[in-house]
Amino acid sequence: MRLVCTPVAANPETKVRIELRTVSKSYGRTRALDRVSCEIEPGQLVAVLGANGAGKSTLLRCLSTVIGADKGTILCDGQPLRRDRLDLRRRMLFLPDFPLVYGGYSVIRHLGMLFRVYEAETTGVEDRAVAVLRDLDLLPLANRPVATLSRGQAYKAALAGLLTLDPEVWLLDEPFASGMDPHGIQAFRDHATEAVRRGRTILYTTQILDVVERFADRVMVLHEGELRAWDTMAQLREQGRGETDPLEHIFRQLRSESV
Amino acid sequence: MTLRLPAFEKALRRRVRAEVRKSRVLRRQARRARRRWWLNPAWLAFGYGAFLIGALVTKIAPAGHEFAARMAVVCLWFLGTLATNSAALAATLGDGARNWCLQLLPLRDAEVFRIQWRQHVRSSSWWLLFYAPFAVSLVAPRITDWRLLLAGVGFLLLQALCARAIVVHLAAWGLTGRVGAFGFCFPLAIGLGFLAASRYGAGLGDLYAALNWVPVFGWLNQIFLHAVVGGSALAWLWLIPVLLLFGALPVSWRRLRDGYVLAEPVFRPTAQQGDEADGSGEPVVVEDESDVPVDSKVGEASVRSREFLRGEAWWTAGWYERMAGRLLSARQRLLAEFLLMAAPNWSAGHRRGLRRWGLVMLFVAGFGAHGAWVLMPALLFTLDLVVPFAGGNWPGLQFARAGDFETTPWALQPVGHREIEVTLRKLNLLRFLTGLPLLAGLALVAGWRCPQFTPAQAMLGLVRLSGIVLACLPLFGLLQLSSATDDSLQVRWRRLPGLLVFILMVIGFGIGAFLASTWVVVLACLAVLAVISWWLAWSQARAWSRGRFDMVKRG
Repeated sequence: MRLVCTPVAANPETKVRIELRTVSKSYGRTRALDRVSCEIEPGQLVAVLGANGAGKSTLLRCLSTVIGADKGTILCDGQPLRRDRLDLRRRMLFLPDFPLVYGGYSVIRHLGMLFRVYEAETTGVEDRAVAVLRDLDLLPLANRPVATLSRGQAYKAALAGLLTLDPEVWLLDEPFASGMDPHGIQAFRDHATEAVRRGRTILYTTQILDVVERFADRVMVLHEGELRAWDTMAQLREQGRGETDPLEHIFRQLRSESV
Repeated sequence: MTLRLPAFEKALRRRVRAEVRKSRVLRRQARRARRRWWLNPAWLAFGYGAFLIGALVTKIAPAGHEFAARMAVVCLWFLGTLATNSAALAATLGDGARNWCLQLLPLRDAEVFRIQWRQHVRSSSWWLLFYAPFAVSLVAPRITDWRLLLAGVGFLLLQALCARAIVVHLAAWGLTGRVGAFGFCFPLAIGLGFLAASRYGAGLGDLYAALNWVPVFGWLNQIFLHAVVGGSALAWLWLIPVLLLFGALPVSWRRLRDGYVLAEPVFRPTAQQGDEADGSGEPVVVEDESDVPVDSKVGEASVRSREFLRGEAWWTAGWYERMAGRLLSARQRLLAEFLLMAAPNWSAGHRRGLRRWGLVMLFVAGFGAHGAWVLMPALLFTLDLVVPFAGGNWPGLQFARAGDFETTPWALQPVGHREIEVTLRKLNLLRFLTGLPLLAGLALVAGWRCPQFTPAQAMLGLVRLSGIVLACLPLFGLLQLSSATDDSLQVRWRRLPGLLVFILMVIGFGIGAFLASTWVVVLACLAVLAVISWWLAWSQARAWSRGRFDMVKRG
């Protein structure tokens, strides 16, 4: 499936390097993230894997500053990522699995508010918006309030904001379990692939291993808050020599540790 | 029908424990996932606060007026219980997330009602426990006979039950309301203010009379004390209305149950800020789908026009919006729109408030001669129009479900604490300034009609009140932003007493600024108040930027 129209990037030049240094986060006594350290180079498509409760969503929330890490530092281009660093935060966008889109807003109005908050109302933004809306089959629904859309359509509306805004870092929680139709999912994958080529960094969580095998440069495996694997797909295949499905092999190993 | 199978759950729990015990790995995982029982610091603060208020009342009341002062607080406490229970019942039976879950089950409405009712009784019963320190601190001093102490505490707990019974009666007749904002802090803080006023010679008698008029059970306090302390057998007749109240409970409960219909999950856009809310609580229909063009070309034309990148029409909306537009910078206007999630429509809200205020003025003019008690509800109402007591009602700062957690639109967007706080402060200031004529009108009418005040005294009080509100402006913004985070739950234990001290200082210096006899003291109190509120706001901003608390809902 091909994109009907490939949008022009908002800021084709800029790239962000993310570094996590012993990031920990606890909820009461539950340690959701346990000294996670890694470096994410620009232009990487990172799949975050892990069993339920492994800390995947917590990691994305920490990166988006929705929650604060108890210990450790997150660096963005070498600068500590803090909530008051709006310049850094404007370079990323976090999409939860149920995105917060105000139901009274139309799809277009949602885009407008997003652009204005991100201060990204540049020339040509409307062309990009039209292209993305067309790719996501949202043009006929562009004036509809989000509250009247189905779950998949509402997710597409939020995703349209992300794709049109095109920040340097995309953080997506379970985009493949968002209720989008196959066409929407394919459009997202096409846009993401193209964005990564331009140097965008994309982190997404998923439980669908088949998707990860074909749609990730690097894989981050979390287990009980600890970073257990941080490798490219090729490295993982090498490690799981003889295994037809290296990711499944890793999960089987982790599970055998658990039970 | 019950949704629980206790025997099954018990047996299963036992089996799960046994399985976990067998495996070292499972034991480790269970330890990791174990949630220690913890006391919500907000609840603890409430317990402390209740105890302190009770103790404080007995300390600050002038000699000979201790009893009356305590009774006044009891009346306010009763009102708080009534308001909170009413709000809790409305939330439980209303259109909430829990109801949505129940909709998926094959249950009749009556069964859902029973489940929700049990849930309400269970959750609201906890509050009785937290009232105990309040009751003890209020009743215990100067009572040497333990039986009297028990009687006092028992009576207070009985009042709490009575409040709950009244809530059921009101709900049965459709009067379950959104009165939670008038919960505990508000009436108790006002009560403290009035009690302090009594120390400086202002009419406590009037206050007590007022408080006996406002709540249903104010008069009952006196009769009870006549019965218990005075030993009057006739006074024991107070039990009759109480028995009637509880006796009629099954009737009201049945009416409530029979009239209960499980609300459908209707989209309910959040109302606009405070004075904008229409108060109906009815779901708002967003737009008729048939009116919306379903055409790619129309959609494309809408985007290409770049209309969606323009802000709201501040300059043509109304006089209030024009003033706000001038006061705010372009970025702040954008933030205001982001917080409202709609076009500003404050002028209409102001007009509605004005009409209600007119009725209040008529009330004060009509009954002002009967005592200063008339002023209390009028002042409460007018202040509610002018000062954002309830924290405003900004959709951009309200929690909504985003998957397996709840967060606010603010948390997900690159919007700074400082810029949003300044925006809120400016809007709160505008709200106060535009409401100032209403307060001045109230002061004038009170000075004219109430024999206790002269117009000059009333205006002087208004000036002091204005000073307090202006000094506390950062605090209002702080509370509004705090409601969008879990900061109150992440306060460290060792810092909690310090925070309580600051809160008490704000109350104390506020009272001082209102009552001090010399202007130097008034100005000093206002200065301290301003410094504390600025410092608290600055501390919150600092903690926010360092990620000391999360922008998700904890519960």
